[in-house]
Amino acid sequence: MSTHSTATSTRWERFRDSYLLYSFKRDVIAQVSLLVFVVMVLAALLAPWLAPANPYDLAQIDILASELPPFWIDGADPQYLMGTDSQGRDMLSTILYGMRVSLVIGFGAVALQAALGVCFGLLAGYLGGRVDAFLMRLADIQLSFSTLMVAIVVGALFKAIFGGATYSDYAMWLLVLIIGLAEWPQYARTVRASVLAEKSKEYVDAARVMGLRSRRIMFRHILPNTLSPIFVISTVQVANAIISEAALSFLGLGMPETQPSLGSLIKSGFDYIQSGSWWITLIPGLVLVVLVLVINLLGDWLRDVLNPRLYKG
Amino acid sequence: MFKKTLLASALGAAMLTAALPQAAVAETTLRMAYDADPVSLDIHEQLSGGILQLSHMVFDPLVRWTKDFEFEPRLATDWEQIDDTTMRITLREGVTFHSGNPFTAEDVAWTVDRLKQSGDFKAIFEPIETVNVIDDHTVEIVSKRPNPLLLNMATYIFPMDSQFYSGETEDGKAKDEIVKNGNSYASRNVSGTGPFQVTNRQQGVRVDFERFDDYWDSESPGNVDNITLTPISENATRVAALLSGDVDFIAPVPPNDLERIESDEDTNLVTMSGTRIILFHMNQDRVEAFQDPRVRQAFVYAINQEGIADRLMKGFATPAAQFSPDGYSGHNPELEPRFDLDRAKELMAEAGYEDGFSITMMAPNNRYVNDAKIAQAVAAMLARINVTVDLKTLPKAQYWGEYDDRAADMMMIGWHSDTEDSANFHQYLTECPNADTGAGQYNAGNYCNPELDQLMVDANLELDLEKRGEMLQQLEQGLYDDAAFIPLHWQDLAWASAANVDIEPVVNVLNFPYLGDLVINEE
Repeated sequence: MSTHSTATSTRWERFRDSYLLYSFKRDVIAQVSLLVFVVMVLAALLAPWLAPANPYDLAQIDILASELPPFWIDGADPQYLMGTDSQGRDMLSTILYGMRVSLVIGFGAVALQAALGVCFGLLAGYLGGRVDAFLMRLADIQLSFSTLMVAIVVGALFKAIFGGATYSDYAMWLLVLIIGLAEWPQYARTVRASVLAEKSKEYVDAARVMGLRSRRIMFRHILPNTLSPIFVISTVQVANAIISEAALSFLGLGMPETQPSLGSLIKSGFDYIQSGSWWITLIPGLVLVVLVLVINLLGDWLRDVLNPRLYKG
Repeated sequence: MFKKTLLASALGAAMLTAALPQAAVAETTLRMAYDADPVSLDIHEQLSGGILQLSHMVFDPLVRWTKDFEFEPRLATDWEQIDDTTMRITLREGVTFHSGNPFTAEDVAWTVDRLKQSGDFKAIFEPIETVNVIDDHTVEIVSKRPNPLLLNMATYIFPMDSQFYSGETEDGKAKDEIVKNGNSYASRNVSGTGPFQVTNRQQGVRVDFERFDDYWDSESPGNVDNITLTPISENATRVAALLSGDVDFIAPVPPNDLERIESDEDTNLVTMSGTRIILFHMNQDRVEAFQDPRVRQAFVYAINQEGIADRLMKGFATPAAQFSPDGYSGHNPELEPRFDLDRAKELMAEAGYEDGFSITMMAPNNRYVNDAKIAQAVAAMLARINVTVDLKTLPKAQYWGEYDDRAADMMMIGWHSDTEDSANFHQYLTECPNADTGAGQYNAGNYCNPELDQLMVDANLELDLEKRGEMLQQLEQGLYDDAAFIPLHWQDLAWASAANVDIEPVVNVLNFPYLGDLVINEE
């Protein structure tokens, strides 16, 4: 019991004394970004309790309450703080629920990309030879298909095989799968490069001489030393995945009309942007921009901290 | 050249435009954007607004409607009722097809024959027994029974080049074959007498037209040499294209942008209250519950037509409770939209569907004004009576194929009466389907009530117009009581153009712009 608590306290002490926290305390932009990000994540997680209405329940929508402006404009209904869209959905609720979708897809897709990319990158870098050649060519091929194209093909196939109703039920997970599968090479290439650099170092030789199995060397010895670039890529990729989802939904290939995400909300307001009801597009657009911006700012900060050349040199 | 300059000056003076027309040296091109391009070049393949608009560009009808619903002679110069069932029509002389073949009475007979074979058109032309060729420029149209609507039908007879469409293609298919949503000779090649020839067509991308040099109508003021039709399905993009000067003519204009276009000095806006009914069919073949009239009534009671017309259409539509718009003989003034959610729930409970059920729904997304948004709103309204809707919206090029297959439980359609008469609605949309006669060709609800069909047949034999109107109103009442379909609204019409394109004289409530007569003023 006592050993356990010492272990945690030393870990905490280590974190308290780390350069990471030191630089965070001195970087206002990083602090604000993290604060905004945490607030957005909490708001999204608590959407079912925070949102005044459930935008996915069609029975709650009233066409007569459509295109109401947000509260600071004349003609607003106090019931709808951020106004309503062209179908009469409460914008605030839809944005909260839409953010949930964006974040789930962002993190889910990145988790999948990372899992695939790290495994393939480690294998390619450590084993080399034919495995390396095969996996990297696979990555090249994968990269030559754009995410959009993969999404169109997979989405169309899925709809054709299982029907539109099933698609609506699984649209979010399908998008996680598509964006996850389409962008694993980003990870694989970076991890492979790091592995090639680490492989020739003495601790790897030492581990090999001790007779450890390849798998253990790869995951327990080399992987921890390649984590910094993985973290940095992850922040960028989360932002990318969120943008991809928004783009797909904007094109009508993502979330179904009845379950609007930020992208499909922006699309549904597109017709109205120059004819008065600008808030339908602008507000979710701003939310999307802020969400992606804070993630990118955090990523930038993390890159600066973790880059050995920048802080040691 | 001389003629064009003369006409342009005459018009310039008439329009009191400040800029004097220059000698017509440069070619005048009209760049226009519709929400979709025609699905085929075969004008007998599909009975639709898009195809009829194409027909008025590439072909000429025997007669056409003027703005105040008079008949204007086109390829027919004169007509005369010989007896109860026979009408003699004199045809215009000196008309040639785009292929160079001369236009004769044979072409008219051939065209009516082909219309009677077309799945979509045969129901309209069913009353015609035969067309007798008297001489090169005279035909007699013989009806099966006295037919007060024969000239109305003649507005849909666009004589086709019978020589051009005769014979076989290289792979042994008849050139006059009508293939729906398929790839036939006639769907790719076209020869008519109309003001424009198709020079290039890429489906879904653009269609190029060029004025036909030997066009017979030398009186026409039209001065457009080339037309480029680009489909732009996004409402906002279409309007932006007009305002930025990328195109000169757009239709339809989305209701939420009317004010913006009207207040812009560089554009013209023309609006008219329309007669096209937008409705949903409830398919009784696919969904057993729809066979119960109470369920159908519940669906009608659940839909807030006024809400859709008011909010989505911005008041640019009239809420409907029947087929016939005001002014038609069959319009029954007693029928009112019946939105009442409590009544809808009661009816569902009575029918034993308190907990609702799931259905599929399809609607086009570039055919009618705000079609996809309307479908979404209807889906949301049905959720209130516990009906779960799986909605799919698709471009009209794919939609009509699905429609012909009756691919969903509820399908949207808009209908403008082909004969400007109430009976046409019932004949196509709610008559018991019969592939041989073409009855109920667009009846995606599979609604069938022989009593009402008999009423229509009787009405069509009735020559006393007042009595006929009463019968047609009775027919509307029957459909209303039975909740044969879900009426939504009559869609208003709007076109917009650059200020120098004078569209007002050529557009009409039929939504067939007579582009051959369009005048573009020099800037």
